[in-house]
Parts: sequence; C-alpha cells; structure tokens
Amino acid sequence: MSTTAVLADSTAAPPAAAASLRRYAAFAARRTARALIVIVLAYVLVFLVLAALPGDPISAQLESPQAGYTDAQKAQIRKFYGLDQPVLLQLLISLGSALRGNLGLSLSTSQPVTTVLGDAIGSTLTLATTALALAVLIAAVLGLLSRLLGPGPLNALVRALPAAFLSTPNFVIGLVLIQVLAVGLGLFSLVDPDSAGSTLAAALTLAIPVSAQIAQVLITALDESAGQDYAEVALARGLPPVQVVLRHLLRPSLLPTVTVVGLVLGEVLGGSLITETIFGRTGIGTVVQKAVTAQDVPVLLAAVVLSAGVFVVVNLVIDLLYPLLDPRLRGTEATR
Amino acid sequence: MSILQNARDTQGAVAPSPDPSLPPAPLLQVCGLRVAYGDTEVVHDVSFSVAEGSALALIGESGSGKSTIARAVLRLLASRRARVDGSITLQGRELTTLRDGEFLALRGRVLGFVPQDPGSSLNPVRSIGAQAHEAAALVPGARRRADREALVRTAFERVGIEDPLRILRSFPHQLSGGQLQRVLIALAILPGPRLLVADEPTSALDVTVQKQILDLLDDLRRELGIGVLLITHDLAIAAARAQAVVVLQDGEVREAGPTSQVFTAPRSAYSRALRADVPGLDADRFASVRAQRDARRTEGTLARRPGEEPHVVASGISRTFRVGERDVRAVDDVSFAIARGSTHALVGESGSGKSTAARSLLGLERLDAGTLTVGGRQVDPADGRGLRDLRRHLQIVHQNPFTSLDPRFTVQRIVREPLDLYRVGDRALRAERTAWALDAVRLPSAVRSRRPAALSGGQRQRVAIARALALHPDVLVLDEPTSALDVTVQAGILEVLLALQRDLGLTYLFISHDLGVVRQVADTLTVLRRGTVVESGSVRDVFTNPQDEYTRRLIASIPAHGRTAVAA
Amino acid sequence: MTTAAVLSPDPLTATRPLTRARRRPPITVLLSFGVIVVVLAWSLAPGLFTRHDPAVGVPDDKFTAPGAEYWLGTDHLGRDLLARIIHGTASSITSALIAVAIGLVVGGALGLLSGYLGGWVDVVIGRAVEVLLAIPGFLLAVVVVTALGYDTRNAAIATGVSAVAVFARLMRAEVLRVRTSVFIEAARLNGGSSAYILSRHILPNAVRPVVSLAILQFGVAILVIAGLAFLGYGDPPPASDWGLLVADGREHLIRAPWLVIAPGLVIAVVVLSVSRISSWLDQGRTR
Repeated sequence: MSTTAVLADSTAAPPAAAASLRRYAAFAARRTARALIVIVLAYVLVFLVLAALPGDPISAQLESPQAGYTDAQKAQIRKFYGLDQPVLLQLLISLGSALRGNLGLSLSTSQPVTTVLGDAIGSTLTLATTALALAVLIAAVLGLLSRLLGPGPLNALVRALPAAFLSTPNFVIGLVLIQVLAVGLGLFSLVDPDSAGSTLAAALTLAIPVSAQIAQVLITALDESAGQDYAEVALARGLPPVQVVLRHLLRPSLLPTVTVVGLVLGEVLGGSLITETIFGRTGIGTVVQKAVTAQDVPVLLAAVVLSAGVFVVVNLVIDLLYPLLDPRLRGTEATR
Repeated sequence: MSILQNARDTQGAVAPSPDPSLPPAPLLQVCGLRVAYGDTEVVHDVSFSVAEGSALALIGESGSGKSTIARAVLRLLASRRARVDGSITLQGRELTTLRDGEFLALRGRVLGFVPQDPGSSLNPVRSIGAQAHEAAALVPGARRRADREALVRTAFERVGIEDPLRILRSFPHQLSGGQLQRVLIALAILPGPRLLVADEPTSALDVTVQKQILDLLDDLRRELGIGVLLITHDLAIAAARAQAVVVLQDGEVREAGPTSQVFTAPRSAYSRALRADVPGLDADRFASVRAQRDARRTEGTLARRPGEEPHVVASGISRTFRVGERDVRAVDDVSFAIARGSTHALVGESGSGKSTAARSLLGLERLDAGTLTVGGRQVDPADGRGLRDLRRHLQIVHQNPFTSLDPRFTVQRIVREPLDLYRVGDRALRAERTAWALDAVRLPSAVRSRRPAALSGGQRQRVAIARALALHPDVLVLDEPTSALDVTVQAGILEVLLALQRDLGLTYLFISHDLGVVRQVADTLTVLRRGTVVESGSVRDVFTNPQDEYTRRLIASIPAHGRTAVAA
Repeated sequence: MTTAAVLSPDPLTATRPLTRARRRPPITVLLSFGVIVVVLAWSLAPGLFTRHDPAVGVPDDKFTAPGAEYWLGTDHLGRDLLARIIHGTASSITSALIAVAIGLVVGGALGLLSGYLGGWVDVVIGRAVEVLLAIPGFLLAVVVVTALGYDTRNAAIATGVSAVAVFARLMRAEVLRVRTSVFIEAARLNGGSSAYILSRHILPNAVRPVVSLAILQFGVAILVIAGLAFLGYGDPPPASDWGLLVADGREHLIRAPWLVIAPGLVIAVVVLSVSRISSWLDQGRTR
C-alpha cells in the first residue's frame, strides 16, 4: 500500500482520524522540541570541550613579542572577544547570540562565521546527498540480490561484500578511485573538484562504506521477514517468489533500513572531512580542517554543531515518518 | 453466524459418496514419503491418502514430522538441504517431479493452506484489503478490479466475516486471532482449492474461538467437497473433526485408519499412550493419586483440623491498568478460597485476568481493592520484608520453561539458588535439598549438571518445579505450567505435581485455560471472564451442572467433550 | 528461484548442519584469527619479522617497486615499506585497544545504569547519549583531539569518546531485554537482591553481545585512528602509524601507488578479520 493510500485511509473515518491526527501532532511537537534540545546540548558540549583548548590564535598573537601590544591593548582585545569572562558566562553569551543567529567572527579571517559556513555548505550538501543516494542504491541492489539469487557462491559473495566495504579506510578508497578513474582512465579532471565526475567519485568514496552498513541492515531485515509466517503463507497462496520478496519481505524491511540511513548520515558528514581533503573540494569538511589547524574556535564550533543539526533534523523527519511506514505505530505514538 | 449454526445442525453427517461400493479416487495420495535434511532423515516412509470432501488428521507431538510432511506436500520446505523422496499425487498428478514453475500454478488454486498462528500469518504493514486483492489477482480470469472485489466479498461472506468493509480497511494488528483466522481461511478458499492443508489451525486461539474455526472448516469441507489435511497435536480435535487419522512419532507412522477404529481400539502402544494422556478424553486420569491424597489428608500428620480456615483467601480483589487513555479492569472484585492441601483452578481465556490475580497473590501486583491472605497473613506488596518471608512459603511455576530458567546457570545451580539466597543451612544441606527436589520431580541425574539449553521442554519444567520446591513451600502458584508442552509430557508433569501434593500436602493455585486439564487436577475452580467471576464452585458441580452460559460454552468447547461415542 | 531461496532465514548457513558449525569455526574465521595472531606478533616483536630499518632508508633504492628485496617496495627515502608497516603496528593496535577500552567501560557503565535503574537516571543518560550520537563520530573525535593535542594517544582517547554512545545504547538495550525475562522475576521471587540479580543474572546474560560489539569496534577504532593519523592528528613522522603511511604515500600516489595500496590493504585485512570474528561470535549467540 502506498503512502498516499495510507494517508487517504487515515482521513476516511472522520472522528477517529481527527483524534489520531491530534495525537500525531502532539507526538510531532514533542519530538521536534526534543530535537531542538539535543542541538542546544550539542552546542554546549562542543563549546565546553573546546574551552579546554590550551591556547587560541588571539592569545598567541597577543603574547608574540613582534606584535608589541601594550598590556592595556591586550586587555582591550581580550575583552572584545569576551575572553576575560569565566567559561560558563562565555558559554551563555555565545549560546545566546548563536540562538539569535549570530555565530560570531572567525578568529583567523575575521569574516562572520555564518559567511564562512554559508560558502561551504552547498558543496557539502551536494556531496552528502549524492553519497547517500548512491549508498541507498548500492545497498538496495545488494539486499535484493541476497534474496533473489538462490543459495550459492554468488549469494555468498553478495553477503560478504558489505563487510569488505566497511573494512577499507575511506581515504584509501578515495585515493584508489583517483588513481584508477582520474589518473588511469582520465574520466574526470583533478583540477576542477566541482565537476560532475569529480563529485561523483567523491560521493562514491563516501558511499561505499556507508552503503555497507545499510546493506547489512537490509539483508538482516529481509532474512528476518523471510522467516516469518506471512512470507510462507503468501507463497502458499500462489504468489510468485519474486513478488513475495518485493511485496512481503521488502516492505516490512523498510523501517529498519530507513532508520539506518538516518544514522549513517553522521558518517557521511564526518567522512566529508577526509573526502573533501582528498578531492580538493571546499566544504564543511575542509572548513573544519582549516579551523582545527588555525585553532579557530568559533568556526570549528559552528561547523560541528551545524553537522549535528543536519543529522538531528534528518533523523527527526525519519522518526516522524515511522507511523506511515508501520501501521502498528499509528495511534500509539507515545513511544520513546 | 448463520453458517455456523448450520454447521452445528448438520454435525455428524458424512460426506455423500455417489457409490459406496466404489470409493472415489483419492484427491491426495502420499506414498513412501521420505524427507531428509542433509544426512538426517526426519520423515520415514509415510503413506496416506485424502479423499474429496473428507478430512485426514496427521497427529503427533513436536518433532513427529507432521509439519514437515505438510510442507513437503506444499513444497514449502525452507531449507535447501531438504530432500524429498517418494510420491505425492494430487488428482492423479505426480507433484514431486513438477518443476517450480509448474508447481506454482497449483499453489492456492488447487492446494490451499491454513496456517497455525493467524497473528503472524498476515503481513503486519499491509492492510487486509491490499492482501486480499493480491490473493484475488492470482485467480485466473480475475482481470478487472470488480471481479476481484466480488471474489473477495464472496469468500468473506462464505467464512462468516461480519462487517467485511471494516475488516478490509484494517491492518492485522487491529483484529482478533479468530477474525484473522477467518480472513486467512477466506483467502485460502478464494481461488476454490480442492485440498486445504490446515497446520494446527486453532492452536493459537482461545477455546471458544477454536470451536468456531473448526466448525467452519468442517462446513467448508462438506459443502464445497474440499479435502482437508489437518495437522494437529490435539488428539481430541482429530477425533472430532477427521474421518481418518495417521498417528506419527519420530517421523514414522505408528498407526493409521478410520478415526473410529483408531480411537476405540488403538493397536499401537504409542497411540494408546497418546490417547490416555489427552485430558479431554479421560477425566479420571489422576483419580487414584488424588484418592490417595484425600486418604492421607483425613489421617495422620496432614489431617485437616475440623473448621480450619482456608489456607489462601482472596476477597474482593481488584486491579485496574491504564492502557493508553482507557482504564482496563484486569481483575474486578474477585474472591476465592483454597483449603490447605487442595487445588483451586482459576480458569479463563486470554485477557480474563487470571494471571493478574495469580501475580497479585505473590505480591507482584498492587491491588486497588480487596485483600489476599496466605496462612492467615495478609499479602502486602509494599512490605519488602514481609514479602520475603511470604515467598519462602509461596512459590510460583511459570508458564514457559524456555524463559523462566537463566540460560547460563546449570540445573543444580538453578535449583540451589533460592536456598543460597535464603541462606538455608550449610553447603551440605543445600546440596542434599537440591538433590531431594530434583528427585521429587524425577529429573534424570544425567542432566543435572547441564544448562537449560540441553534439556527438553518437559525436563525444563521439572527443573522449574524443583526450584519452587527447594524452600519447602506450602503453596505453589502454577501459572499454566503445561500449556507450552506436548500432551504426553503434560501428563508426566501433572502426575508429578499431584504426587507432590499427596506427599507434601501442598496447596495449589492452578491457572489454566484448559478445562480438560482442570477437570483432571483441580478440586475447586473459579471461572473468570474479562476480570470478573462468572462462576465458582467444586469442579464436580460446575462440570455436571454449569450455571452460567459462558461456562457451558467453555465446557462444550473442550475438544471431544461429549463425543464419547468416538472417544470411548 | 525456489521456495528455499525465499523462505530460508539465511541461505548461506542453512547449508551446514548447525551442530557441526558450532563445534568447528568456518575457514574464514580461522583465517581471521590467523591474521590477528600475525598482527599481535608484529606489535610485540617487530624486529623478528623484518631486517630493514623502518626509520633509515637507502636513498639509492627510493621508490623501488615491490619485489624480492623489498616485499612491499620502498618510499621516497628508500625506506622499506613492510618494515615501516610492521613497526607501526604496535602503535596502531594499542591505540585501538585504548579507544575500545574507553568506549566499553564508560559506555557499558552508562548503559548498565540507564537500563537497570530506569527513571530519571535513564532519562538523563539517554539524553546525553542522544547528544553524543548527534555529533558525527569522526567530527567529535576531531574536536576532542584538537582539545587534547595532536598525538596518537590522544587520538585514541578521542576515538574512545566517540564510541561511548554506541556501547551505552547496546548495553542499555541488552539490560532491558534481560531485565524483563521471566527468570529475573523468578530470581527476585526467590529473594535475590538488586545487586545479586544485576551481577549474577543480568550482566552475564547481557555481556556477550557487548563483547562482540567491542571486537567490532576494535576494527572501527583502527579505521578512525588511521583517519585521524591520515589528517595529521596523530604522532608526527617519522612515526609509521598505518594511517600516516597512507598520508605519506598520497604525495607519491602516481609514481608509487603501492605506498597507498599496501598499508591500505593491511588496514582493510585486519579490520575485515576483526569484523568476521565479531559476526561469528554474534551468530553463535543467536543460535
């Protein structure tokens, strides 16, 4: 049954549907509030960890003899950056302005942090969505093959691939792809990192380990559905085996699979650090790397919390989709 | 419901046969069937046949190979190591040599399947309507949507589904087991099959629903002339519903023949044992042990003092649970009393509140109202120390021996654990008590140092009983102690329990849905329905003269009850 | 396609009798154990396995392709790559062990408390774990290693911190699963105290999947630490951590691809072996 049909279903009987819609709205509101809290807490956590940094470029510049600042000037500059305040007060001030959309200035370039991230996020989002799409595609192919291929060496290979994908470091995958596709076959140029070819290769680098995780969950879920009575009964009713796989095994497997797609988004975002470096792209990953090198705390903090925010929002959307994917969850949204 | 009433009226009628002297060619003929998994043969040389419009029952306990045979016929064996030898012919056509593609055409259309557990046999994430239409689309000629809808409607009407439109809109989790089984039967008969393979079609259902479903299958068989291959562990069901039976043990046929013959004069020892162990067929199975108990009770140390208070008393207990936005009264003003050394049964179907009542006796549930006393002392769930003292004298045997034993403990450690925790005596005494308890339940000494995984279900339940005995309690709560076990194993466990009662003077609170068992073991009973007491009294009185309609229905649905013509 | 293909829960293991499969591990598992033994030997006594010096090369032999003298070739300074890999093993393995230990101890304890105590403890720990999970693991590790300072030990701690949430979540789930078992109720009815039930019944039954996760996470930690080393957040050269070797080789990718491929393969084979062992242990549990 399609999603639209499910929706049509729930609007069919008015009183019950209205009640269930109300419940769903309450559930959605609760979940959204919780997601926002998690993002704020992530900000606090990262801020506190970074506050433990032994030094920052401001102090380094101020203390450097060549700069020749007077003590009064030093104090003034410190005050400008709020460094004279206790850590917790700094946190409150920083969090307060962040909630109003002001992420401060980069310590190394003095640009607003929002500008730095705004310039980088488009490239990373393109990369991440392409990578996730590729990963889902690869996982779907592996998952279906694991059921549609009869038992045998080919099936064994399909089932062994995810573990192999997962075990290879993504920087090695990236370098090998560059060596083979760009250097060997000349399929894309290393000079223009934003070309379609280069983006695809970078996305594939990210997608391979991630597809493995999705495939493992999908294969396990399909195996589990295959052991269920309803699969046997559908087969006994005369439904052709391929259709049993598509209609009776795949549908119940969507829930765990969609869940893991949300979770691996974290790996895609984290992995972009290495992939963007290797492929010479400018994105959140390289921004993070530069910020780490320059000890540029405001940029690092904002970039990490932005990634966490993207992760939390996508997983929130997936949570809200659960009742559509599994009718058993409808009307009982009071889950954890 | 008209179909069901119809079925009751015509009960006992035999399928008409055009010429009695010339029996019709069998619909299904199985000859020399062998099924092996790798090197292990699990079905050995099994032959039987099913005629049009008649039912054949394959009877056996777990591991007898009955389900394997059903799946061999349907070609549903899930392991690719499974090898099937022998001949299976359907309407004269050999099935074993068919290619998968050819066999597919028979599935559903000629060979229908009714599964064991309706709760898990429909896809939980698709609506009943989607699955019904999927089934209708497989019928040749049902091209148009209107054709399919008509097919579904006819089949739903045929199996007596009320409010089909609501059912079609529902998802499986919104329906009861009985409704789901009707849907599954409707989907099975929808393409007009000639043979229905019903694999324990009612073992997951409550007894009253069980009867309705079996009546429906009887009805379909007679009116549509369908052959039925009925797989069951329940001899009583076979006796009442099948014209012929095949008794299986360890993959071999022990006995086969017309039902009346096998049940009146069983030739094999196994059939005789099996028959003797069916609670519904022999109400007096344990009469002698109970007579010995009563004899002891009136004399010697276990003598009951005249005018003695009942040992366990529940008065007006109530417990309400909050489910979502509704209050559910799980137990509503229930009272009962148990005399020392006797057995009281709490009887009811699922959701009747019998387990909640039993759990509150152990202090596991807080009561909203009413009191429980054991040996004159009140049970107070808030009083930890009091409960600890109480539970030395009051122990429980859980329903499922597969989950009630820690898989990482050895049998001996499991039984010794309560002694350790209550710091009873010294090491030597605990070892002696452990051995005594294991002897009392007649557990072979060979398995005592093993872990539960190495034990059979019956052995595990004996371990659970031994654990309950270790502290020398005087009251045992038996929460459906045999419902997860085969009948022969069940008989063994019941016998042990009754012997223990005779020898130790134990008081039992026996929770059960099985009235057949209750009649065999209990002295008094309380029938519960949706948390309230429907009827209570001595077992003899209630069975001979039930006052309440619901009790009458429960008693009538004991398989084979009142069908002594076949059973005796 | 046959019935067996659609219905068998796992078309691969269904081919072997279960009892025998339990007694003798499959060949891939034995091979995996072999790999782990070799790697452990490398890290304990690297000198026994190579006669080349990992730090001093023969400049004349720079960029020698893999061959009889240099099995895995040499780098831009003429250093034997195999020697460098073998001498880098100890650091890579120890740091992965540290990471797993942190994740296992901290995460396991949090999960245990959360699952067993429930109530507000569960809520607080649950929210903290949710926050840790929300920050992409590799970024969290980068942030922590930035705060602690760049060296391999700190990279290991950072990796461990990023694994805490995973352990806490699994431990909590396992404790909840075991806690609701009937045998726990039985132990409680027999007078078992909370501490007794937790230590004798819940932990022993909950710990096995967590151990198998720990083994899996050991492989993951090798990958994460290698990634951090690749980005230069580990020990600086001339250390020869596996990730650092790949980073060094990257500059000469076109001229000497083996400098990337060989250490990359070593990482992949070790991690694959570890995950094979973990999944084998996991299967033994579910049967």
